Amino acid sequence: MEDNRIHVRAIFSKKGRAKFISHLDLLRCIQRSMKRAKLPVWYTQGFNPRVYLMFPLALSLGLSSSYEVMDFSVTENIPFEEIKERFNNALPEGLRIEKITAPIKKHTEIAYAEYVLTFPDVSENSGIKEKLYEFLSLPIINVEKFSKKKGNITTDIKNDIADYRIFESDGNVNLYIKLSAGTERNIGINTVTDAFKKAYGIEFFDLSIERTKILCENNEDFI
Amino acid sequence: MLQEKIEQLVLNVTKPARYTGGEFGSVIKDKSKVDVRFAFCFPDVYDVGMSHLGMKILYSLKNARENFWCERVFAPWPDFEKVMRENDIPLYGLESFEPIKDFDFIGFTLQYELSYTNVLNMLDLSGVPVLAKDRHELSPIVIAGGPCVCNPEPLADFIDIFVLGEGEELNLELMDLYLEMKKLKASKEEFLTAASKIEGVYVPSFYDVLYNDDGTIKSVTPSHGAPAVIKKRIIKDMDKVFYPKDFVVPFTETVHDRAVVEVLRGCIRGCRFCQAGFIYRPFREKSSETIFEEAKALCESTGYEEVSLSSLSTSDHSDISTMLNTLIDYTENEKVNLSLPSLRIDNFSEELLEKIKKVRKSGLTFAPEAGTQRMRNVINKNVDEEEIMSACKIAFEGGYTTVKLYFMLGLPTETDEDIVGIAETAERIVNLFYSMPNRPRGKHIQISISVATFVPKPFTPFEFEPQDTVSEIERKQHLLLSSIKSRKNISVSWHKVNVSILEAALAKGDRRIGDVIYKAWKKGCIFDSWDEFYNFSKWQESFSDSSLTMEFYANRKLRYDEVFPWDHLDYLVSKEFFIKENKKAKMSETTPNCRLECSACGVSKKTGGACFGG
Repeated sequence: MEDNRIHVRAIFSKKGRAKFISHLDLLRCIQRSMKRAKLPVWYTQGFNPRVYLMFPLALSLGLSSSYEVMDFSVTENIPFEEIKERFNNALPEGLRIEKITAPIKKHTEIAYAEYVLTFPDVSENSGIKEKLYEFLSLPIINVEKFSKKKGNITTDIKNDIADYRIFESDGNVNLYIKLSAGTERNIGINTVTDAFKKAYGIEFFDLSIERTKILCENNEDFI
Repeated sequence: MLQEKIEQLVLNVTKPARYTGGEFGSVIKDKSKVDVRFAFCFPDVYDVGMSHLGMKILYSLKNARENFWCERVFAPWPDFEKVMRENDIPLYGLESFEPIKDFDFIGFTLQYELSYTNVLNMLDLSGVPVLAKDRHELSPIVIAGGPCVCNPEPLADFIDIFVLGEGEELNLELMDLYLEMKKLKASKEEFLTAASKIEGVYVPSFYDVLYNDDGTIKSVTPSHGAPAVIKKRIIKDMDKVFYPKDFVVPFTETVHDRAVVEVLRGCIRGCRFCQAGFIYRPFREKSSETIFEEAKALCESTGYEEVSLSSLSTSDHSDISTMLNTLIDYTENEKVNLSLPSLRIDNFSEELLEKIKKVRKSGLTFAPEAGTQRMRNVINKNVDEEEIMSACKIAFEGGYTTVKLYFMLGLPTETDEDIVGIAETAERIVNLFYSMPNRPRGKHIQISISVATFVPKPFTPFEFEPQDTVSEIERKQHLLLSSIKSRKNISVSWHKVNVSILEAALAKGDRRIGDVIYKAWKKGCIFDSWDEFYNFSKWQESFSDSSLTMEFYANRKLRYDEVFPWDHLDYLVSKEFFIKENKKAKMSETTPNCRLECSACGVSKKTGGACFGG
């Protein structure tokens, strides 16, 4: 079975209203889009054949992304450019295939994800820049994490913040942040924002978050 | 902008995708090029409403007209309703994100009585006066259709126009007339007067209802030149009627999330409790070719992994073998699941089961509806026990080990023996299973009995019948439970009894119930069909505040010569036929199905032709 399928990796974006599609709903949506596009996708060979579809790093509901990854297989040798075009014609608003490629890196090589947060220029968000500087310079950043095995645990994520930068654009405050991601250690951006909100007892007004990259240990793009 | 505001707030509620639109297949138009805007409202949450076939048909039908724009609107779940009210977000169309109070039509589909308070709540959320008499402008015109409209009297105070019967032609005629009269700057009353001349249009405010001292209806008198009797609309040719080539494909999971093809309309069976079996007559079917073409087109355009066939009784299609053969070949090839609901057991042949076995399915569902042959004869469910057993036998041989059985409690003439008979039927199926040497090895039989409380409905031979009182139903439920011996193999479930009595009162209610619905809604009743929101005591208070009782509507026996609240509506089947059927029921006499013999229900006489198209 293995020999007559071609492995494909799609880099796609999820923006606008598509950020309201949950991960589970996204799976269904992608499968239906593939069917509409009449892509010769490979099905699992069990009693209950399903479209083979792998997402190495799920995206939380409410987040946009310009760099999402999914793997699937096709049973015919069709040009990647054609897959991309047919797929895009069948996708709903907000979802877009940016690139189709052969998979190079293994899923286990994922080490980081990068995010850009935008705090709009509204009175409710005043002073956010200073608080962000203060928060991210703390020597220890303890967060509550829920684990299925251990229940609620407290963990220090200071070392999971591999990089950050605070800047302004169009009067809005932005935070670029690079977090541990993947199978070894995975810190979701909501873990950081929740800890920040808790530390200052604040709520954000209209914060938007975009995942901008998934990276490997050596800082190469996960592709 | 409303859309931005909603998108900011929606992440704080459950299932935000219910409120943000953008689904594949949703129709966006340039509003400057649109003449008539229609808000199609389903008075329940998105997940339920998006499963409804009628809405899909009418949505596509209206949007196929370049100058009409139909949008979808659902009842927001209470968490989002709170957000909407706190942030001054009016009810909006999911396509344009514009307030529906600015639309030309606000149209509701009434699928079940327990959605009525949601209709009021949605009008209120729209910023539109809830009472029709308080809406003076031409737009929005509030209309309603669907099966409950066969007795729409409880909602007469709130709705401007009821549309009776099938909507494919009627909706467009109404919108065309509206456009014409809008250009002439007509008043609301002028439009309603003209609309009332269209067949199938019922303008409740043009009818004056008088009551007798005993609370029954004395007379219903039309004004404004409206017809004394309003006849429902039907589509003549099912192969030519509009059917959508695409559906809106939701992101979030809905109750029925799949492609659906309508197989036939109407029913030949004549089960005496079943409203759908009478109000959708005459029986008309699509040809196997049409069904196949429509299924294929929908699967291709939506990408759905499942397709189902919709009708009251798919196995009554005259060409079912061809239909299933072509569909099974196609779906197997395309890796699409074919789901087949509503299969009657009396023509569940081995050949058919072989075909169905090719299609993945987890369990079997039968609806004997009653536990003894006498009771089944009374309700005209022409299935005998031997047929149930042979169908189960074939199914067990085919590897099935779960059976779902549907029954009703509180049927007219029901005795304790009939109730014990339900348990005995299930026990016999259990015994059958264990007596079979070729039963599935190492497996146990699991039977789930689902018991509904009988609700007498208008336009059925049982419309005259009283519903059992709540205490009597509870007694019968206990009797049934204590009659089951194989507790390990048989499980029983039922709905709350005090829901069924309200359902009966609303189904058979008159215009005075409108005040009760209004009061119940004001007390906070919404989503009454959801157990977690249903509040019986608030409904009881509302009835007594209006000096009415549920019992008058639900538990009273109606006289044959009484004027019913729905008597001025003509659903083609005659009242004489219902009386005749009611009398036959009392004598346990059955009526053959329409294909075997015409029983002169009145439909073919009124439509001027045979029911089977020739």
